This record gives sequence, structure tokens and C-alpha cells, in this order.
Amino acid sequence: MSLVDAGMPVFIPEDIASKEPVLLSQGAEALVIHTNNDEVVKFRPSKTWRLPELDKQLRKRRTAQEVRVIEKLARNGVNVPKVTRSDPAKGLIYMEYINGISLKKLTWDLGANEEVKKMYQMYGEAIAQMHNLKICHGDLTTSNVMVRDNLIVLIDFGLSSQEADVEDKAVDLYVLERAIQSTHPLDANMLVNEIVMPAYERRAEELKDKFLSDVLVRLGQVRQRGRKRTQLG
Amino acid sequence: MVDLDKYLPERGYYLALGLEGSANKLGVGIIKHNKGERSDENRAEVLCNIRDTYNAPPGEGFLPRDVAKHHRNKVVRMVLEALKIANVTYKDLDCICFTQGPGMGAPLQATVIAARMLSQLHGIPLVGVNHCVGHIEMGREITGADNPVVLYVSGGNTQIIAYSHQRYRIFGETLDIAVGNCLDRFARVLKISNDPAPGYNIEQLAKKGTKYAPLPYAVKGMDISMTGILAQVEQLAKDKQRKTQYSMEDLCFSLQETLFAMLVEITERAMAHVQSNQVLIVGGVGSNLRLQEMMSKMAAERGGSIYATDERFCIDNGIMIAQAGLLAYRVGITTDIKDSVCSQRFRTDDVYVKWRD
Repeated sequence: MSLVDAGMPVFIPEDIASKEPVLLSQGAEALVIHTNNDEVVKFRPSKTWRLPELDKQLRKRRTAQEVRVIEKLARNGVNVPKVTRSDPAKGLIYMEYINGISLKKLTWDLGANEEVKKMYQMYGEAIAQMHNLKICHGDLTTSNVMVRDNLIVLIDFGLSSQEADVEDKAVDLYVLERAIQSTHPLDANMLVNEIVMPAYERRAEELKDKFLSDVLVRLGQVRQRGRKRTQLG
Repeated sequence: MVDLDKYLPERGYYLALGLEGSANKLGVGIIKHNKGERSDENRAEVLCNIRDTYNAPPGEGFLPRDVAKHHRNKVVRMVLEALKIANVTYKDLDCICFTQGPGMGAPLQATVIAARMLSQLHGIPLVGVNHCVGHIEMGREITGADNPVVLYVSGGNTQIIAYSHQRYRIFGETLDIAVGNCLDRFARVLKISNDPAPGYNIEQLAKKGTKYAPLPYAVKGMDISMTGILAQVEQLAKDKQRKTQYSMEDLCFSLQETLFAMLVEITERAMAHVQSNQVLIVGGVGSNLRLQEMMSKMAAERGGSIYATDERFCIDNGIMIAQAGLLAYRVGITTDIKDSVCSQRFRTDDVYVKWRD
């Protein structure tokens, strides 16, 4: 789908528009645009509905943050796209093109078969590794994991944070749990309780993550809070 | 396709009375459904939708016992009035629908007692309704939105909901307090009036605000957190020296802009996630025009549209309970007296939505 076909009303920077760009995905806040064989551009357009001051601040902060986090993860052996260059003020990140499909689509296409389960296991392990680096993803879903050559690549660090504490990590896991439940309702309990969480715990233990038990206790509390918070009309 | 007319009465249409009393509003509504699927030609008819609101004095929130007392005082009168406006009698009603939760305990109980009494006196079946599902079904009915992402924002709830596999599934929600609660509590600090609603008064003040006070912005995936923002804006409001820097209007403006930007962002994320371009806003905060404006710009940028209703249906009301209850009744769901206990905690995704495919 070309950007024109997609009816994109957003401003696309000149240097990208001239390369016959193809829209790979329109997420909530960013467009991922495929510009040539091995490069994509992640572009955060301005949101007209948001107060301009807030908009500018959020776009710049998130773009810079995303680059910092991706680079740190890459240095520490977590599978992430390679960043070539970036321009936070314009909301632009240039990075490697991941030629694969999302874990969401894979699960929808194949169901929770052994091959797919293996991907969820790797997902759990990658999260443990990331948390051990005090990084939280902030939007763990099955659409934010790409599968390429039977390996997973974590993408979309737009809401990530560094120096994450126990609460952040617990919420990170809770968000994932809920995302799996809402996206893959029929297999959710199995995927979460039998694959992702055990893999996460195993990897965290291997890494001697001293916060593991605290995170798990807190996850229980976050779950309670979400589930049983008093709801008023 | 779900058969909605298995229990069609001989006269060929359905009538339901709805009682809502989960918070500070008591609502009584009477709805009429003709047989057949809902379509643009076959819409539900609102025969009556009346509401009475209990307001606490400025600087205070409403207390459950006072609200319950209000509901007890008003319910009989309002039911009689509703029947009169709708020009129907008890004999005509197919079911009595009531809010079974979530909400405040004492007011819920006051309302369910009235519902049980009516049911037993006149031999009419009861249908317990989840308050949130009531909002969603009324929103769908009024706007005609087919399968939208639903933003449910009120004094007690902040949820992003989408339908899948016979449930309204919660994709995102607040991790601490509800957006309406955040606004209400801020109004209390500034002693803004609770009449007609604190949120409404904040909305009016915010229109005059110009200077943006930076507040925390806490989005976590499709969930949000609001306590940090509330603490910060309360601090700014109390801090005498800052008063010269930010007026009351500026603070209302900043609070709204921040909270609503977060809400629109998580709604957009949910829309991207489930690949929908319709969004339906329900709940009391949904009647805020600034929120509606931001949301419709967002939806337009995604090539979609928003569906919102006005205060009659956004703010808690009896008709939405009648609507959701009647849909349940039409597929054979009723609530026995022994199961009619209400609950303060009743999750949207606990309800089995038998009336949809």
C-alpha cells in the first residue's frame, strides 16, 4: 500500500516522500515507512488534536528515548532493529527493515502450535533480559514482536523507560498479560501461564535478577488493583 | 445470527423499565423495542428517561449513605412519574431491569430493593444489568455505531473496550483512579461547584485557560495512571506563590488537556490494535465537548469517525439499563430474586453478551 493509497493526511518529510515510500504500519502515534530494501523510517507526525506544547515535548522525548533504549538493548544482546540515524526534533528514526511477520499475525494464522509457542517462550526470555537491564517496554503486545527466521525481534520502544523499578516491570508484564488475553482470548491462559511467564522467570533466575520475586509479588498486586478496584458509576 | 424474538409477546413489541442508581444519580427509563433486528428503520423508542441527581456541597464529594437516602426518597415517585410520562401500566412491562453493579454499595442496594419490590408486587421478571454494558448498549443504539472501540469514561470508570467473542473486552483502563474521579477531586480542591457536575464546571473554566502548566503524562501501553497528575495539579493549586503564575482557569485547562490527550492516545492505540476506525464515547466525562473534539480529530486523521451522545445518554440514566436489560431479556436472560444481589465490583468483561454474534 502506498502512502497515497492509504490516504495519509499527514505531512511526510521531503527526503522520505521522494523515495516512493510504502507504509508498513500506522500505529497509534507513528508511521513505519519502508523506504528502500533494508531501511525503514519511523515517523511520529504531529497530532493536531493535542496541545502543541505537549505534542512537541512528547514527540521529541519519545523519539530520543526510543533510540537510547534500542541502542542499549542492542549492546546487551537483545534482538532489536538496528538504528542507523535519528532526528528527535522531527520525530524521525531510521532503522533496519525487519522482513518478517508480527507474533499477533503468526498466532492468528497458525494458532498456538509448537512453533508459535517457541516464539512466546523467546518473548518471555527477551522480556526478562530487558527487565534485567532496568528497561521497560511500556507497550508489550503481540503486535510489537516481529518473527523473522524463527527468531523474535522486539520492536516499538516508543513508550519504553529506563531505570525501571519493580512497579514498572510488574505493570509491563500486566499490560502484556492483558494484551494477550484480549487479542488471543482462547489461548491466552495457556500462553501466559505456561509459556511466557515460566520462560520469563527461568531467564531472570539465570541472570540472577534480584528483583524477580519482588516483581512477581507486585504483579499479583497490580492484577488485584486492576481487577478489583472499586468501580463507581 | 442471534434470534431476538424467541420470547416475543403476543402484542408484537417489548417494553422494559430500567432503574439506575449506582452513583449519585437515580434514573428511571422506559424503552420500547419492536420485533426484529435493530436497523436504521427499527430503532428503540425511548418512552421516558428521567433522572434526579444528588449533589454534595462545593469542596465535598457525595457520601454513599446520603446518596442511598436520596434514592430511597425518590424512587417510588419517579417510577410512578415515569409510567405516567410513558403512558403505560405495570401490566405492559415485560421486565424490570436494574443496575447490578459496579457502583457504590449503599445506592446500588437502595435501587435493587425497589426493583425487587416492583417485580414481586406485579409479577414481572427481573433482569440484572452491568452498568458499563448499559452505557455501551445505549451508545450503540443511539449512534448506530456497529462495532466501535468504546471509550468509557466516568466518575468511577476509565476503560477502553472492544467487542470480541461474546464479551466486551477491556483493552486498556486506568491503573489507579478514574478520569471523572480525578476531575471531581481537583474540583474539590478549588471548591468548584458540584452543580450540575464538577466536570462540567471544570470544562467551562478550562475554556478561559491559556497557559499550560506541565503535568506528568502517564501512558502505559493502553493503560493510564492519573494519581501523579492529580497530586501535581493539586500542589500547583494549593501553592500560593504559583497562584500568580497559573490561574484557576489555566490549571483546569492544563489538567483537561493532559488527561484528554492521554485518553485519546490510548483510544488511538486500541483502534490501531483491533484495526477499527469507529470510536464510541460513553460515560459522564464523554459529554465533555473538548474531549469529543480531540477524539473526532484523531478519528478523522485515521479515516474514521466518532460516535458520541449527549448528557441524556452519556450521564448515568435509567434508559440505558432498560436497553441492555431488554436485549438480555430478548435472548432469554432473567435474574431470579435469589441472584439479584448487587455487587460493587462487576467487571465489564464478566458479562456474557448472548445478544450479539
